[in-house]
Amino acid sequence: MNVLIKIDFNHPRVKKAYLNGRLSKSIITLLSVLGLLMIGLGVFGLLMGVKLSWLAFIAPCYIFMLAEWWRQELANVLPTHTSQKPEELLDYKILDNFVKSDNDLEDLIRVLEKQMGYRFMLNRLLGSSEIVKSCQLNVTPEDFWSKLINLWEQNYDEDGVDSAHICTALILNSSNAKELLVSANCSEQDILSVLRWYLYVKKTMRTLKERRNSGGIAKDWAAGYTPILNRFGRNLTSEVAYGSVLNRAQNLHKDIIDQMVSIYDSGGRANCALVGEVGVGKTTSVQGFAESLLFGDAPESIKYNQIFLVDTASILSSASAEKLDYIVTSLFLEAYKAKNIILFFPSAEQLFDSGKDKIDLSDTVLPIIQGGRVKTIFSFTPKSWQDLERRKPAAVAALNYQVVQPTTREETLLILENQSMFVEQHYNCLFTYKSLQEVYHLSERYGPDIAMPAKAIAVLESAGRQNPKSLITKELVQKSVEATTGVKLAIAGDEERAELLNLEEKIKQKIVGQTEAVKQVVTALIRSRAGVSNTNKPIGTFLFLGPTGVGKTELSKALARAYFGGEAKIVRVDMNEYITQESVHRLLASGGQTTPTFLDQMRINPFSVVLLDEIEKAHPDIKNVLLQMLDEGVMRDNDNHNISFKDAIIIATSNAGADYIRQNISEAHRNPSVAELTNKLIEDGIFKPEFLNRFDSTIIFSPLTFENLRQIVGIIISELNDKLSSQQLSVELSEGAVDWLAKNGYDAMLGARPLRRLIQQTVETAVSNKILANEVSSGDVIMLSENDLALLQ
Amino acid sequence: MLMSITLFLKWWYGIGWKQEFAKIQKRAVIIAQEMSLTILLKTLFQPWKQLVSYVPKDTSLDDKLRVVFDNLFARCFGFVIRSAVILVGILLIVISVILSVALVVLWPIIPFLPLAFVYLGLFA
Repeated sequence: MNVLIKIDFNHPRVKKAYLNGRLSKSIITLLSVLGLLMIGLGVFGLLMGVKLSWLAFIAPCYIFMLAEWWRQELANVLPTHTSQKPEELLDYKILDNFVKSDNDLEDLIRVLEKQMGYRFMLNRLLGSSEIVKSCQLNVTPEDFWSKLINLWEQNYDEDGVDSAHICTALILNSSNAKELLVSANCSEQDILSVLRWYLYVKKTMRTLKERRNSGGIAKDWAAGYTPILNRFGRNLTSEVAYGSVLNRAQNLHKDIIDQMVSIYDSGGRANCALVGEVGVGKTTSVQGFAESLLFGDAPESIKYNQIFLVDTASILSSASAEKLDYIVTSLFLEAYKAKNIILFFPSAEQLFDSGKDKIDLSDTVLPIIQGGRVKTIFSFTPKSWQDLERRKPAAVAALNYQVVQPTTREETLLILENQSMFVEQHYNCLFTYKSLQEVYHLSERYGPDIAMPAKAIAVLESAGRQNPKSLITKELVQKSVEATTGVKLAIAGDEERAELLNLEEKIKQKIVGQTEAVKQVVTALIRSRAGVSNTNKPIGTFLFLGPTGVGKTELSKALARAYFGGEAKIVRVDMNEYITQESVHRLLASGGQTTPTFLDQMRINPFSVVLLDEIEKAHPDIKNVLLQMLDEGVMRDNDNHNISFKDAIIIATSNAGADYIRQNISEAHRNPSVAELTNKLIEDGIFKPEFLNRFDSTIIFSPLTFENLRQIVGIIISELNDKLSSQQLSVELSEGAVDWLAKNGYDAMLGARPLRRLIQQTVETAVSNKILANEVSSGDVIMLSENDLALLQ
Repeated sequence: MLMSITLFLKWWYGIGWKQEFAKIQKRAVIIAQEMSLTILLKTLFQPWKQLVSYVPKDTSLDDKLRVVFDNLFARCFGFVIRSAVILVGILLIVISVILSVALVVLWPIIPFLPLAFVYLGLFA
C-alpha cells in the first residue's frame, strides 16, 4: 500500500467539513420552518395563558444558532492558509469523504469518484476511471502533497485543492504517465487545459451566485424617456443585467473595452467605430462594455449608461425617405436628451449607403457624428469601412476607430469552453475537450464564411443541435460537419473501406480501356480517406489528355456515381466559356447571381468532382487563376473570400495533342509517353510548364480499340436492360450485331460518342416497336441481329 | 459531539460575533445601493426624466416664463420623488441598523436563552 494523502480526523476543518456534509440547504430550510411554527405555537400558548409554552422557544433558539453557523461558516469552509497541511488546503467537500487517515490510490479514487471536478476530468478527457486506477505512484505522501500544492498554486482555486487538481497530479506524477496519456489519447497540455476549463466553470458558477450592484431602483430616474429608441432598439444593458456571463469576452476584448471607456470618459468626440470582419466579436465587445458600465469600475461620468442596439434595417423599412430624416434625427435627439444612452449601430454602413434603391442618411448623421455630443458606437466590416473612407472621408475623420481582430486558436478555444456551457444547457449534451479542439479545427475549413470566433461557435451549436442528450466526442463533431457539408471527414470505416478497395473494379465496369487513369484516381481517393494525404491540397488533381470520345468525361461521371453520391456531385465548368480575359471576373463571381456560379456550387458542394472540360481553351489568365486552386486547394472570389477545394477531386480534360497521340500510334504503334506529349504541348504554347506541373498526375487516354468498343456496347446494353427490368424484359444482341454497332458507332474524330446515339437509334427503337406492337410479353428476351439493326439505321 | 460543541462556541463568540458586527454595515450598504441613495443625492435637483422645455430665440416673455415654470416644476417634481425615496431608504437603513445592533447585543446571550425558557416554562 503506497500512502498518498494522510488526513488528521481531529483537525477542526475536517470536523466542520463532516458537519457540513450532514447538513444541507434543504435541511436548514426545513428546520427553520419548524422553528417558525414552534415560535407561533409558543406565542399562541402564551396568549392563551399556558406557561409551559415558553418551552416551545427552546428549539427555535438552537435552530437559529445552527442555521447561522451553517450559513456563515460550515457551508463554505475555505482554506485557512495557516499551514500547508492537507486538512487546511483541501476543498472541504473532499475532506468530508475521507474515511481513513492513510489513503492510497484506491482510497483516493473512492473519494474522488463522488466529486464534480474528478467527473469533469473523466467526462471531458479521460473517459473512465481506469486510466487513473492504472497510475503507478512511487512517491512519499509529502512529495505527492508538495507536487499537488504546486499544481494548485499554478491553477489556483479559492475553495482549495479540488478533486480535479488531485486527478491531474495523479496522472502527471505517475511513473507511467506517458503510457497513460497515450491510452487516454491526450497530452499533458490537454490535461492542464481541461483542469483550467473546469476551474473556469466553477468560478463562473460562483460569480452567478454573487450579488452584483447594478445601480438600484433609481439609477435611470435622471435619464429621459426613450419611446422611439424603445421602438427601434434593443437595450443591451438590460440583457447583460439579466444573466449574461461575459467574463471571458471582457478578458478577450479588454483592450477594446478599455479604449471605449477612455473615449466616452475623455470629453472628446463621444463616438467609436469598431472595424472588423463579421464574426470577430464586435457586438460581444459592446456587450462586454455594457457589462463593465453596469457592474465594473467604469468612471462616474459613464457609469450605468445604457447601450441601445439600434435596428437600422427596421428604421429604414418603417417610413418613406422623407420621413426617415425626421425619425433618425429624433432618435439621436432622444438619446442626447436622455443623457445616459449610448447608441450602437451594428450595421452602420446602412446609414451611409448610396446607390439605387438605397437610402443615404449621411447628411443627417454626419453633423451629429462631427458634433460628437451624442454617444455612439458604429460597427463596420473592413470593406464597408474602406468604402466609407472613399466616399465620405469627413465621416471617417470624425470617428474614433478601433480594429477588432479575429481571435487566435487559443482564444477561440477559451470562447468555445465558455459557449459550450450554454449549448450543453440548451441541448442537454456534454462536449469533450477533444470535441472542442475538433470544432475549432473543422470550423477553420468547413465553418460558415465568417471570422473566428463566430465561425467556430456556429459549428459548436450545430454539433449540439444534431446530438442532443449525448456525450459529444470528436467523432460526433465530424459526423455533424459531414451532415452539414457532405464532406467525408472521419477515417474510413469497415463498410467504406471495403467500398474503396472495390472502387477500381466498380469503375472499370463502366470505363473501358483506361486502366491507368482509373487506378490513379482511385489511389488518390484511398490516400485521402486513409488520412495520409496532404490536407492542404485537393484530394487529387489530374490532367486527362486524349482524343474526344475515349472516356475522359465518362470517368469523372463514373467516379462521382461510384463514390461521391451521384452525378449531381460533379461541378462541371466548360472552359469554352472562359476564353477571354474578362471572363476571369465571371469565374471568380460568387453570391448574388440568379444562377449559382462555379464558386457558389463549390461552396454548397465542397465534396465533389470538379470537371474542367477542354482546359486548353481557357484564357491564360484563367489558367493562372487556377494555379492557386491546384496548389493550395483554395480560390479567392471577387469579394476576397476563400472557397475551399480541399475536399474535391479536380479533373481537367483536354483533347490537345490528340493528333500527336494518333500519329504516334499509327507510326510507332504505341502511346507517346507523358513527357513526350507534355513537351509537345509546351512547345506548341498550349500549356505553360508551371501549369502542367501543378497537377498530381497527367494521364494519357489512348484511342479506343475495336475490342474496347465491343465492351462499351455491352455496357450500354446492360444499362438498357436495367431500364427494361421493370417490365421484366431484356435485350440480347448477336455477335454480329455487337460487331456491327462497334464498327458503325465509332468516329475517328468523335471517338465512341456516336455509339450511344446509334444504339438509341437502332436497339432502343427496335425494342420500342416490339413493345408497342405487343410482340413481346413479360419475361421475354428480345434477340436482335445485325440485320435487325441495319434496317433501322 | 463535544468537539462539535466546542467548535460552535468558538465560532459563536469569535468570528461569528465579529461577522455580525460587519453585517450591520453590509446590510446598510445593500439597502443604500438598492435604493440608489448616492445617485438620488447626486441628481436631487435634476428634472424628472429630463422633461425639460427649450426656449426658441424669438419667443414672447409669457412663453419664456411658462417654459421656466415648466422646467422648475419638473425639477420640483423630481426633488419631491427623490426626497421621498431617500427618506424611505434612510428609514430602512435605520430599522436595519437597530435590528442588527440588537442582534449583536443579544448575540452572546442567545446560547443561554433556552435555559431562560426552561426556567420561565417550569419554575417562574
